[in-house]
Amino acid sequence: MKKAKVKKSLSGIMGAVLLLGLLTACGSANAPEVSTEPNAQAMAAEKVLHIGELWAIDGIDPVNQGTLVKEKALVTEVLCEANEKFELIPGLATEWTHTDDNTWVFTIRQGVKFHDGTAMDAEAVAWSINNALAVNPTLVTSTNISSVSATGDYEVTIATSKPNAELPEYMHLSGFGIIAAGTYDNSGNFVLPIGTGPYKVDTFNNSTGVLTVIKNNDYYGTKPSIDKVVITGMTDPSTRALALESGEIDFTCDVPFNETDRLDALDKIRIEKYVTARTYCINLNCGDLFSDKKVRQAASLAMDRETIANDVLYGCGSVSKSMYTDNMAWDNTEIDGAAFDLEQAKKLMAEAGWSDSDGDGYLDKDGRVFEFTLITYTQRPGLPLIAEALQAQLKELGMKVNVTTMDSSAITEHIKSGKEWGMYLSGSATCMAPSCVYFLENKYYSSNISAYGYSNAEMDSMIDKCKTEFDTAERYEISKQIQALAMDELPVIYVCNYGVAYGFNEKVSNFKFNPTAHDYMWNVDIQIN
Amino acid sequence: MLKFAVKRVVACFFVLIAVSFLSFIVLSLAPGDTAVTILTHTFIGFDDIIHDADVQTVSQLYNLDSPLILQYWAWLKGALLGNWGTSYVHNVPVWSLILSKIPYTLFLGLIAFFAAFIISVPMGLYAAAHRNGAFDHISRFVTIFFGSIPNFWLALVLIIVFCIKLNWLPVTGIGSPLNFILPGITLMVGMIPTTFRITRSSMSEVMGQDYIATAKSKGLTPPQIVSKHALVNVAPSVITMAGLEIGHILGGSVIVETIFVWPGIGKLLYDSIISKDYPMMQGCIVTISLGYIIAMFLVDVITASIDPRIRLGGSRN
Repeated sequence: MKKAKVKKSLSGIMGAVLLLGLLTACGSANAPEVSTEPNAQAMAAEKVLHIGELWAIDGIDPVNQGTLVKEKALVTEVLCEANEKFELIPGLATEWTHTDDNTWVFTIRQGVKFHDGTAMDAEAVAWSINNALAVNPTLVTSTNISSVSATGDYEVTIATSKPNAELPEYMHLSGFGIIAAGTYDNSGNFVLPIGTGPYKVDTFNNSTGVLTVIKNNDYYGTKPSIDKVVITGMTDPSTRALALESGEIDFTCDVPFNETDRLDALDKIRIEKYVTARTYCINLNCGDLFSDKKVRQAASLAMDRETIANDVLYGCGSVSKSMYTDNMAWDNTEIDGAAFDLEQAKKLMAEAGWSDSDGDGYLDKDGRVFEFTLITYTQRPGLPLIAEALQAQLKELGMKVNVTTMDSSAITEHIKSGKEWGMYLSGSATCMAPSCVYFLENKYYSSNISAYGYSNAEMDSMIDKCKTEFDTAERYEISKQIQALAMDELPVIYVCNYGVAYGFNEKVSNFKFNPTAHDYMWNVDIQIN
Repeated sequence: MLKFAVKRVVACFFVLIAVSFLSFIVLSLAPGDTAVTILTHTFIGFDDIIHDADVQTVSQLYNLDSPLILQYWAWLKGALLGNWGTSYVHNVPVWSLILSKIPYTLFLGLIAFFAAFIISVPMGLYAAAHRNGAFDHISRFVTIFFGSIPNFWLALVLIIVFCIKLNWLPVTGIGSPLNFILPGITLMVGMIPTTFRITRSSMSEVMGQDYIATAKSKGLTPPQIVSKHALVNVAPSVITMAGLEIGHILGGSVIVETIFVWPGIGKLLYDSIISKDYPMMQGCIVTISLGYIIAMFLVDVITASIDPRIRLGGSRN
């Protein structure tokens, strides 16, 4: 009797668990299964590009996930585009002008339609920009926009609360991608991004993070060459490399540095390395050990950037001469802050009063050893490697470096709280917008968090002047002067330009690198055989 | 029995409240400015430039300036009424996203669990019944060997062998039954050693009991002894262990889900912790806890039905 009862209980529970598993796996309406496997028949009929995206695809909000929607899916477009020199060129706006210091007028391109067939006119553009400002409040802070209105069928007027000479440059931010009102339902809930780009959203599965876009046959510009693009979030670099190797994806970004040579040697894979608008840079604690300019210069001279770029980053990056790369129109090419001269560095430290009085290999002064914490974070894989290399290189100079990694948000808190630190190594974007002063303001302006205590009245005044100079050539000139001052003062040391390694299946051709993209942006005439 | 079950359900409810409270407090105390984290994960790039004004805006937007206890109370009130909030990062209702991940996590986990159960329980029973025999030594060595392999390494090796070299299986995706094989094996290999060792040690203990000696002296054959006397006494330990494993399944596996791009709840929880997406974190933790609690509740009910000493509050000895 007891045995029968036990058997009955066990089989009942086992059955229930199995049934639950099967029911939940097969019956969820919220989780339609999306195959990342290309269908053989469909493949014969259409050209499909499979992309292994390096971040998880958490959503496709065109404002807060604008980089994905605009640059990686080509669904939205912005008023002002940029060329390879980071100079503005017409996008959805054909021209723009400022009528006074606080007002910009944009002429909107005619004959453009959204993916839902509605016309893109001034009313639609004004609504889209106002929506972006409401969804992402940081866009208000960075632009000082106070109002946006349609002042003609194809004319939009934007007023700012403070003069902003670079408002058109900020209109290049992907969060300002122009969308139709149909992106939201009648209750204001986000549905799918409806843009004007060469591709439109076909499906997005929030659960699997797979985004599929198909070509927009009514696109006003160059017709897309690929019918469908499937973008899958693959956060593990090794998985991306293996998926590329197995032929599951055709293109990916940021495969592991140490895998690039091996992958490139394979017949069916091609690796291309480029430098992006991001820099591996070091903020120095100018309120403590690095208060003396000679010490800052010595630290910079002791860094062997060539070795770091070639051996630590496996060529995924290049030596930084300053904060900008020489393809940027406003780069001060006369600056060369990449010198490596250990003897000169030692001399400067001696002039600053630091010597190894006790022979322990580390410099000291008034009983204090030159010892500090170098803080960095792990989200960008090159950072911990560079930190270790710098630890060894600065030891040659007599600096004792303790490397600490922490979450990037904890670093800001750590520094603000007044805890000990000497260097903060980060991978900072230099051109979120193609602006000649955006990065300078954020890294050097006294009141900014990212200046980490550095303060210089002359620098502040030059930055203010640059932001309000409406003549582009003159603005670039002021930017070059700020760059020279910044590199002379050296509160921030630039180690390497940030490199990316793109992996392609051999069947992908005609890829054109876009240096203004944040990870990658493929071109509409890319080919797949 | 009903009284026993009702008592357990009430206790489970309070455990769930306690877990949600503790997780909220512990996660709130983690280093890092919450407003900065939300700002960098939701509105700007995670290592892009931060403005003070934006930090303040985010603090106000997400009510981060109010005391922790009030933030928790606001969450709890909503949760009890079925509103688990909206994810800061995904901008969708927390519950809908968790619900969409559960089937993938549960299905993969249960496949791995049943495969591990079918292999390791008979192995454990046989090894204990033939203690110190060749099978016992070999099976112990094999399970220790596989148990020592880190799952990320095993996953990569499996991919290299079966996806790259042999080209038999896909690396990522969920569209085909073939997609289950590698993540399933990776999870299963991690489960086998525990199940095997607990089964073996329970069986060994039972086989040393006086009633087994009595059964032997009555002249029963080994199969009769095992089926009539040993199995019933081994069952509570194995069921408890199985319950723990099943409870663990709902927690997913960050490593396996990341490597195989499997849309499970483990990676969702991990990402929400990194981005301080509090509503999502709370939702995941409560769901995972609920899985454990349900599994443990079922274990209690089953073992109580098998062994009356448990439901009567008595001792086994």
